[in-house]
Amino acid sequence: MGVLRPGLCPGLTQDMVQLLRSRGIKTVVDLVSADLEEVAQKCGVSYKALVALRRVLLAQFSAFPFNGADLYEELKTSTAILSTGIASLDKLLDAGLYTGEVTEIVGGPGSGKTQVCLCVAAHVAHGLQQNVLYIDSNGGLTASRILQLLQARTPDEGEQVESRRAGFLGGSDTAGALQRIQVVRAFDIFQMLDVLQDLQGAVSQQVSSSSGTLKVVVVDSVTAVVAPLLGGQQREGLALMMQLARELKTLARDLSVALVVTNHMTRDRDSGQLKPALGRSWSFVPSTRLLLDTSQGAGASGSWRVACLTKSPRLPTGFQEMVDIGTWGTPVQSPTLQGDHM
Amino acid sequence: MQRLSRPKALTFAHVVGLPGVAQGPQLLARLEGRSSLKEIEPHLFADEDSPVHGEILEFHGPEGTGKTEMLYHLTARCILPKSEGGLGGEVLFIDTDYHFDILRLVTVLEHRLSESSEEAIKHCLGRFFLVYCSSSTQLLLTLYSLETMFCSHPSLCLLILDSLSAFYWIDRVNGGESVNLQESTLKKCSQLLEKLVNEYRLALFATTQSIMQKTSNSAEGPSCAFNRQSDVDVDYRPYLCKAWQQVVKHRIFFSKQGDSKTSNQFSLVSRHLKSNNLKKHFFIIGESGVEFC
Repeated sequence: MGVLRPGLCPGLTQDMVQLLRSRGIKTVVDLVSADLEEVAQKCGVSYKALVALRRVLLAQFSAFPFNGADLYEELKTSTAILSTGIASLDKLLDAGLYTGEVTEIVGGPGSGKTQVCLCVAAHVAHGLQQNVLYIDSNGGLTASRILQLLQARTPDEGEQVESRRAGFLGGSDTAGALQRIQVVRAFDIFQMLDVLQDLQGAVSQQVSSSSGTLKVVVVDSVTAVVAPLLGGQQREGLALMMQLARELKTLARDLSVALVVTNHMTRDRDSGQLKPALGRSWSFVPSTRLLLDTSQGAGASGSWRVACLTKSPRLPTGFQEMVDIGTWGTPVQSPTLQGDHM
Repeated sequence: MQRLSRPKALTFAHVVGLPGVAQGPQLLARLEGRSSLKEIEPHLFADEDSPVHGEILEFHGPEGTGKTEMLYHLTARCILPKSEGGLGGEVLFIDTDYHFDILRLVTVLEHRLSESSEEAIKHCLGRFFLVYCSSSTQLLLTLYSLETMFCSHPSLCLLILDSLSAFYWIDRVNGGESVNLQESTLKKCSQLLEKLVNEYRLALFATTQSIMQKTSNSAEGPSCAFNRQSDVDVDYRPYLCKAWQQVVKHRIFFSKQGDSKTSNQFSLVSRHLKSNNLKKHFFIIGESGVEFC
């Protein structure tokens, strides 16, 4: 939106555009903010025509207010709370991930962020039978890892043997779940923006899949594509980051999906404390933030983590839960199962 | 759109006493000024009993300091009916980053209503209007088109803008090298907001996020003056355009109290820019929203 051109809206003819341009009115904003009586006199255009034009342009380009009662009705039915598949995280998050919101999982290297994402993807695809879009910018996702998680969830040995034999063509639960997880790789911000825009496009054209609706979008990680752009004197990096943030939030709200992003930690310049990466501007973007930390003074097993809720739109922050990431997706079966059919 | 319906002409007519121009009780309500800031929130604005004739207040603070919760609190106070201790007025909420959570507002209302039935909630929500804006240009055009709404809703007492700084980086890049061009849309928004707020006697609460680092770093912000008020320990670096700095009458800084992670105590410092009056308030955030200590 911006420049006035013929056909932009009904009533905006080539002549009109020329006349207005000759008096310095080139954009929609110029026309809307101008004193129409003055313009009518100077351009020799009818005042009524200008008023009508202004009204049409405003109707077309400005946002329309919603009434609270209608909005509430709509969100009441379309918002869902999706369990993460990990009981202690669900407890922290007040039952799970909310659709329409961006949830951030932040932690240092090896803190289990990708593991949580994989677990969420496996649970939503298998347990809740909904679709997942997994945008991988880290290379942390492999199909075999997801398969391990899914197999750990299906205790029935027979079912898994069947699925191996059938080569995933049969109606096995694990195979079906794998099909519900769509993986896209995006290693820079432009690829990621493209993926998000393609998704919006696909949904708006109502390309539906037979296996369920998209309920979760995972971005693992957002730091990998944004961090290279930040720092130094460049404003462009920050603008791109905010554009990505806007796309993510719009996607979450418009498609009613739970959007999960992972972020790394950096050290604060002044205090030396660890804090979430990507700076202050990004800190306002997610509605909920979960911090994963290696528990201090933990026992010999290094698989315990402390999950802390550091930002929430509806719960008091600061509560913690202990989570054991070692038990997730550990194959109970023999090692020969790994790498099969992948 | 009739020229005579412009409020300026009518205000003049009211003063001079021209007969036959007033159009009923709606007009009188507008001319007399809407509720005072004190009625909107008695704890924060204990001294402001005069009816609002156009107030712009800025909420500033880092993430997680209670700004959005305060907005829910003020909204609830306005839209609750008079029988429940509210003002029975209308609120227009402009959301620029898909931040607003209506389910949270409903929770706050449920805790404040004496009998929280679906009917009562719907009745309150009927007085609430939400607009989403996705760019600063759309914000500007939306403000122009909302003028008709201000005309036709005389019981609209509160205008909320969350947040004004959402487009900051995108605008800076779109404006190229010229700082004037970068700030031009926000400048027009600020001027239009001041005009609308004064003409329709609204109270505007706008949030701005603390997105600049505390230490000086010319790469991140314009090289304008830093915070000189060393007596107030606030993390404030003005980075929005001068036009906005000039229209703000009250600036309220939010911060979180206490070092312990589980503390839910917050504080705010309210500064009236003309009189340079400073006041500190403490509050906690519970299920029912903000509660002043």
